[in-house]
Amino acid sequence: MNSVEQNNITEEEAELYDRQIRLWGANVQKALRNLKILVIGLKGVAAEISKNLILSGVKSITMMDPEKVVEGDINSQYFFYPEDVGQNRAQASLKAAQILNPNVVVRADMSSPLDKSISYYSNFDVICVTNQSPEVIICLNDICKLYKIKFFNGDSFGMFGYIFEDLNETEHVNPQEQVSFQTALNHKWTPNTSIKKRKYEDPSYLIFKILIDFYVIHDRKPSRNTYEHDSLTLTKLRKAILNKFNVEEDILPMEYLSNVYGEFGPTCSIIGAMIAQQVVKSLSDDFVSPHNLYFFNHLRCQLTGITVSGELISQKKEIIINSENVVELEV
Amino acid sequence: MSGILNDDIILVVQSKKVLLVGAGGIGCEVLKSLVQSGFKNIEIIDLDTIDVSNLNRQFLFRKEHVGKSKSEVAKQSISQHYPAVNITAHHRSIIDSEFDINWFKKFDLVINALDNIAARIHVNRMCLAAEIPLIESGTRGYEGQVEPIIKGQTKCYECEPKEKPRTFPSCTIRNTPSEPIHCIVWAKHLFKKITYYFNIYFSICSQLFGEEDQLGENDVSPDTEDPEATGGAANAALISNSGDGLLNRKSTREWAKECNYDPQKLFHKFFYEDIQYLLSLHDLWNKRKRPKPLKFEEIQDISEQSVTSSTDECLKDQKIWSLQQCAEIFCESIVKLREKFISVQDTEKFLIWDKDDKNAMDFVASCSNIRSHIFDILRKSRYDIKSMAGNIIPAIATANAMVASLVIFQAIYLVTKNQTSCRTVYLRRESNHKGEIITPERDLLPPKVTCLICSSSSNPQVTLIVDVRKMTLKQLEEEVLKKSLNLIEPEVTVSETSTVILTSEDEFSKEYLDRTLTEFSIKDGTLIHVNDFLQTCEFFIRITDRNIENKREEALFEIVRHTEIIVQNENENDKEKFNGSAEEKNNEDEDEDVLILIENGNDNLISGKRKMENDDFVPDKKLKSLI
Repeated sequence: MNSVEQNNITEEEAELYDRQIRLWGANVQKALRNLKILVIGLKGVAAEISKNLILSGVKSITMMDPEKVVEGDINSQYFFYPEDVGQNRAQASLKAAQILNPNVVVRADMSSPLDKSISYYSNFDVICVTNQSPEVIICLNDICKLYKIKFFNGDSFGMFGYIFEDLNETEHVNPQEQVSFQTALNHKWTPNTSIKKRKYEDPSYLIFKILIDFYVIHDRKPSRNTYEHDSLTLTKLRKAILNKFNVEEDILPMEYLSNVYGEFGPTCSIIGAMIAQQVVKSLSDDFVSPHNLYFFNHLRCQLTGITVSGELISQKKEIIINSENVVELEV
Repeated sequence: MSGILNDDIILVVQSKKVLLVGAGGIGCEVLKSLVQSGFKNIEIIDLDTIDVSNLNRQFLFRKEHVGKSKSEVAKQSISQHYPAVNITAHHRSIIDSEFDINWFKKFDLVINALDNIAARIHVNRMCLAAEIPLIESGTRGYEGQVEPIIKGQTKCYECEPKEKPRTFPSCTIRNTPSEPIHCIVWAKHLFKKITYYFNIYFSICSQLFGEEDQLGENDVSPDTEDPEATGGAANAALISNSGDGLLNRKSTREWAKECNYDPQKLFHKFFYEDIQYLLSLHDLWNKRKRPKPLKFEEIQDISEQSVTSSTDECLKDQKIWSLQQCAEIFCESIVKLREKFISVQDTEKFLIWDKDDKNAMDFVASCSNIRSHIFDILRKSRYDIKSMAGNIIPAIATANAMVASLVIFQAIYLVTKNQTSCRTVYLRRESNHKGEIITPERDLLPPKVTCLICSSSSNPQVTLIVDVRKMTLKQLEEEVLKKSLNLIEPEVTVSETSTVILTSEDEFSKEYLDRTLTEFSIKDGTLIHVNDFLQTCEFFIRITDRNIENKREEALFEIVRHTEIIVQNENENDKEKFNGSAEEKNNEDEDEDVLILIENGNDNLISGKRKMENDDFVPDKKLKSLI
């Protein structure tokens, strides 16, 4: 068989993927078929990213997570079965993930992202990072910049959720908008000045900042199990953030912070689906990505993208992973 | 659901009983998300079985499930992950009298995850009658929407007019096609006709002639009563063709037997003889290009200029067949279909056309392309013909997952009586100027006072514009009440005299069905009362008489849904404004109520000789306002 035939979509594939090929065309389908994906952090969002991309017919998906399944995970992570509690999350996801589509190579990796060598990541075309600390997200983002790998990050905090993307390419996106997660955290957000429109102001960026700060302080997300303690922290963080951004209290009602505990299946679905869809859309020739940070505002059922842009300054930067692998790169 | 919702909400959610209508793309996702959010009592209903083309998104199904019941497999798959949940699966149609108002009343919430307007309308009416909140959902490609429907508080599914499927005048299909779609519709009807021939041929006991009416509606042979084809030529041709097998039932059977379903003879019949006949209707071709009759034997001699190819030729099906290929595939598919018919004839009277059946699809693709060649119409690839013939709506896992999640948010708002948070929500293909991909309405959309179905007014009314001397009671029942107004078991009373002229009881009105409306003293201005017992839905129809002029594109009837002020001169601008206004401008006052909505437009032609070619699958076009 020559390479042209190998590249052409078979009749079986055309039948299986018919309804999506009619949407995004055979060329995107071909590109999907060559796509190698790494998904990190096998909680609800990662399972949804994996589910959607496996269904769409990518070449391979590697699911990486060193943690074990706990009781509550099952309610928001479709791949788990009740008997999986105590098993490794990646390993436990394998069976349900693989039966979605036998044409896709699905692997489980039980190591921590920090245990891998930097060059390991160059094996992938797309890396989706979920359920990690801001530190790890920033680090993996930098590695993706180094190898020009498409980087997606997203997470759910109770009903709230966000998505960050850094496509690390020049074809489809304005280079100024290809900022790193670090830059996104330092975005100078300002509310709409018109009083009339205040009512419709979306304070999601502030919620995002509060939750990231929470993670930095406690090295975890807010949880119902530690509700009393966590709600206090969140109240304090809200004050601090409002001060920092110099905005009035009514921009961010407390109500927004009452459902940001644990994981909620439908929010994981939205965040996971949006990431998977951006992965697919980024393969098409006419793709333009006007935004790089998206929020799901759970009180309004609203998903909004914003554009964080950074200055293009070349600077030396050091990434340290496990103190063994050190790399220098131009940003 | 520990961990996310607070305890009060968890208890409420766990105690609620939910009906999920549809276990397809959205249905699978909704089922998963319902269970993950703590719903414990769910009934799911779907009449469909699993097809290979579902597997790219309906993630509860796998290859080994193809052909099995969607609702049952969905239940099995989910139960493996969440065994504690109580799911009941029905492999049935929701439009069944078994599922009456009392059955609906046992639920706290109904969720629609359907793929057709008729079922959506039916569930909408059932939920309004049972006073159960409904969440309506739909996707089309990257787009989608979710719509909470609460009686008296929000718009119902029928408050906004639904776009009707495109239909074509019978004579265009049979005599004067000018677009690929005309040939495709013709080919689909020919498929029915061919299987009908098989039936005549292979059935010993042929009670099938009882189906003659059904056949007539989809006739593919030249339409001899085409008003354009007046004059001596047509009459002469009619006489000279009186022996034509297709023009009367008796000789159809004879002819079918004689030719023994020989593909080449069928070819000759449809692509040579019938075209010759059409050519004899001289008046048709005064301003049109004349078709070229095609003989099977001549195909080899036709040297084709290079076959036009589409730009994106990645798939085998995207290549456009040569005429020779079309003829080969035509013959091959007929042979295969004949075999298939023989194998199922004990149980089935007809083969049902299915876009996913290879031979049925090959037949339609080859036939329509041969006809296109004859009429000098651009030929299409099998891939494109499948889209058009099957009304395929592209569908992807991600959009379905997002819409399903939005359904759950609305469901939780609804069952926790937090109705002020409920919103109609749209999923967009691209973000709008504010960066929004998922956009909620700012407020709940209030019901339309003029809505025929959910209006609180005591006598909601529509106007039926019709020639009362021509329309029969049967046409009133089938075309007006059932097909256009989506009733299931209508009872009709003439208000003035309180005479019941139609009931759902079988024997009652059968003998009257062929009488015209005049014979029931229905005239201009008559008010008739319509009541549907299954849907518990009633309203009045005001009859407006009009003489149908025998124009080529004239409709048999028109239904005018009332608004407070009726404006006679509806124009396109008003219509557009109406369709496009609902989404985001709802906070501004819009005087929508001065608009008139003509449900069937002018192109719904149903009469003895002007039957409409109507496609069977009805896509929900409501989403177009999003683009």
